[in-house]
Amino acid sequence: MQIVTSEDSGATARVALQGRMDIAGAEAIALPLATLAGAKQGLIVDMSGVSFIASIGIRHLVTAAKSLSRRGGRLVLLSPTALVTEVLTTSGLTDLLPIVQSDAEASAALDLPPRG
Amino acid sequence: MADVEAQTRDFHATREQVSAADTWVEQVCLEWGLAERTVFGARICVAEIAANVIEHGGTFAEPAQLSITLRRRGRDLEIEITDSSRPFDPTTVTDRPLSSSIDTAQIGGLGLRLVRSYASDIAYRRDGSGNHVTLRVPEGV
Repeated sequence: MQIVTSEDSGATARVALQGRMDIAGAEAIALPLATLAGAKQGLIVDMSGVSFIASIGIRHLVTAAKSLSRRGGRLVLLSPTALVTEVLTTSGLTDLLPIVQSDAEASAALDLPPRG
Repeated sequence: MADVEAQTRDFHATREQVSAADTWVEQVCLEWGLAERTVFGARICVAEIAANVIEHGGTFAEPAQLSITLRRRGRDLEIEITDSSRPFDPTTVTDRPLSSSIDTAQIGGLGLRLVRSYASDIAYRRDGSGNHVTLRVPEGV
């Protein structure tokens, strides 16, 4: 799995996760994700390129979200596929953090002015 | 053509090999023309059961052995996972309640909840070769 930063404005960042978030994939991005979560106030994670997610992936997302929340920040998930969304829902993640389908919603969820 | 096709492969319970197992499960399921959600569910079941074996069974120097058998039953899939590690019966694990806020959310404990959302007929037995978990991933649950 890869993590690609597409925007970084200092306080907030937008990254894309690409590939499968299985036990090996989750481990590959664990440190960069945790580092960002510890350094930012807002983090948008584009999930559209995530082809698979197992509970280890959920674990890392929850850890990142907690890290942000502890400092008054927020993690937002953007555009997961239907199959990935099903895992997020079964895991209860839909009750814990914003899961949105557009950049505008993502910015709004971070209380940012709309992009563009 | 046989109604039941089956394939078996062995893996070590390491991250790299479990990732390879995921690739193999996906490939076999696609060859069998199973529905997208069935393939996904099969991969979840294997990933979660294998993750438990990695976490609780074997040692770094001596990882446990996994044997995975996939059996096609029409549009459904049967999976049998045998592991050589210490006794562990996933059918006795109860789900933790889910939290309503990120600050109180627990890390972990979700794996078997996910398995149950895709699988039916989850059964466990133990014999001389270790733990045997069998389950069925039906189409369109």
